[in-house]
Amino acid sequence: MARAIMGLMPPRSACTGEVRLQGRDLFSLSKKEKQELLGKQIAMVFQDPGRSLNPVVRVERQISEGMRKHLGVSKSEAHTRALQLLNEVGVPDPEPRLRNYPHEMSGGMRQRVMLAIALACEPVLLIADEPTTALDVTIQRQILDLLRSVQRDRGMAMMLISHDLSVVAGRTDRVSVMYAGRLSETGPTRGVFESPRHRYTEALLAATPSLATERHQRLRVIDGSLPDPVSPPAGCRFAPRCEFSTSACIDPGPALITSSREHQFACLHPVESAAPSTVAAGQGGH
Amino acid sequence: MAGSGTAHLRDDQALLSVKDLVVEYPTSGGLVQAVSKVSFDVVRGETLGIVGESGCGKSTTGRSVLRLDRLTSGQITFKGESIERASEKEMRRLRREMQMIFQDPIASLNPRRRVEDIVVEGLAVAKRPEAERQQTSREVLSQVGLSGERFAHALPRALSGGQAQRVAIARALALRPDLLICDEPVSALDVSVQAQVLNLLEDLKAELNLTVIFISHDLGVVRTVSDRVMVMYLGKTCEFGEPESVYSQPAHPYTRALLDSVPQADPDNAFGGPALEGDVPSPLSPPSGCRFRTRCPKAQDRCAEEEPLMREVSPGQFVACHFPLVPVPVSLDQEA
Ligand SMILES: Nc1ncnc2c1ncn2[C@@H]1O[C@H](COP(=O)(O)OP(=O)(O)OP(=O)(O)O)[C@@H](O)[C@H]1O
Ligand code: SF4
Ligand code: SF4
Ligand SMILES: [Mg+2]
Repeated sequence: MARAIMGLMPPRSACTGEVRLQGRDLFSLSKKEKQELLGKQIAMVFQDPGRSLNPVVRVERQISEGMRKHLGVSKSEAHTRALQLLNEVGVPDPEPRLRNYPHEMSGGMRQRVMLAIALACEPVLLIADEPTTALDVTIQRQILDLLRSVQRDRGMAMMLISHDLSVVAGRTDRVSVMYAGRLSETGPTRGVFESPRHRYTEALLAATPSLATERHQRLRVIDGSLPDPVSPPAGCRFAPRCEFSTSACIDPGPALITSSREHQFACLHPVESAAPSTVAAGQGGH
Repeated sequence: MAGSGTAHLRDDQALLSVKDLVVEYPTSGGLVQAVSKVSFDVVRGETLGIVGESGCGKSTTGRSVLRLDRLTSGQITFKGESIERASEKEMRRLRREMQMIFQDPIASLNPRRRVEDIVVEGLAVAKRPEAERQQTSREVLSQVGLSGERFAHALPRALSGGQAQRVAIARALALRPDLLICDEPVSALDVSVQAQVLNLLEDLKAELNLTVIFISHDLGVVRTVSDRVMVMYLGKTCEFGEPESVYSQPAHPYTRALLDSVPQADPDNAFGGPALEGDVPSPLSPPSGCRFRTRCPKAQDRCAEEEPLMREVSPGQFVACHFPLVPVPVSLDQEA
């Protein structure tokens, strides 16, 4: 999904619908307008900084390239700004770092540099796609803290994409749970984690061992595996693996339901919750 | 431990005992000190979980038990037999009794053979009769929940990650091992499938009276499967004990930091404590004394000069730290 927003989809893939940034529909922009917008307003941090950084270009040039192109700053100003950015993302001793090549840095350090590059053009939206999946827990912790503090200090919007529910739990204001290309549930992070309504969200939380799981406790299992993306099942895509599915889940399938304010889910037999539900307009599990 | 020592060994009851294991890899950049005087043991029927961050030497430790890497020094004893002194011929027999499964299940399977043949590869090598192989093949496939035509004739590329890992487990079981070494067996799997494989391993362990070494960087997973946990850092041991005490009352500052770094599915309380600063130092030139001292919030001068040795801080809980986070009982301290 993040790739679709950034216009990074392969030419033959199909996108429908609307993506709006500050009121402008991204899919209807010209190529030039889009490039301008993407370079400046939206920035992205990926899972593997080793692969997304240019291995043969020094850190300084990678940070200043975008600034000089999009913001038109002078070479010496770009240098000063690059130093400030490295400071902001917690790179110790930034001056010599500017002359490093990516392979001369650890994974955590490369991810900090990636973030500095992403922040260079003062984006309004930062998309972080599995930004810590390749990192060790203690380094992951540092980067997650950093992303959150930078996002708050700059008042920037951030989209944090992760396969790990717990990474999202403490770092976001709102969360959307997706399954096989569809939205299962979306709402304020606290609401979704404290009272998941969709059967997939509930099962996923129960299948994940935590630090408090008892020794030799049996884990809740989700039978089967992800559906074939080429021919996904009709109706609710989780139905083949769901213990609560009924024929209605396949046809007509669930509509998006709004429970408490801003908490929505697409499930016909949701987990009980105290708050009353109302059916919203819309169809399919979108 | 960022230290060494053997106070935590249970000696005579152990199925496998590893003492002062050292593994070094010569590289163009110098000598990588992958594992430096690590000791542990595993009692029959229990699961030992080994946790630690990337590069701390977990896989090297596991591979050393099967002598897949050259041991620099140390003693490894399995069922009373010395691994480091065994001949190649003896090793081939011993390796059948100690099976290993790996992180990437599909890569570990021969792409051109059918599942029914893959799982009894070891028996074929041991020249066991065809009838026995077929019988065992059916048996182990049903044990891992892959019975029937559909899987027996499949090639590895037709399997999902979870199914491939089941095949790898079946192949290990076909040799009726006493010890199963699992190196990150679920790390490459989707969370929903991970739970299936973990439950399967737990069932098989009980059913077949297996002893297991379970290597993982995931503290949650290790907690659920382990009877004993060993925490490693940069080729050294930090802490050893039952999961309940290690997780609820960690004695080593690194164990504490590791636990505090694990994100929790709790929006109000994402992390247990402050973040650890800095990066893991290079194994080419690890810090003197306690190897954790460059990142340790409690480090003092002594930590740079003297390597901490394992000692007992509460019954069954051992730590290699000069200034552990739980008080050291006087009587136990003198033993150490
Ligand atoms: N064949 C080798 N040659 C040189 N160095 C090696 C070799 N194998 C491992 N190492 C190094 O030894 C150290 C320990 O590696 P090991 O694979 O045991 O770590 P690990 O704890 O299993 O890490 P991970 O969680 O990433 O699997 C690392 O610094 C690694 O780079
Ligand atoms: S809509 Fe039906 S099949 Fe889908 S998650 Fe809800 S109960 Fe299960
Ligand atoms: S207090 Fe000293 S010995 Fe203990 S972990 Fe810290 S640096 Fe190592
Ligand atoms: Mg490993």
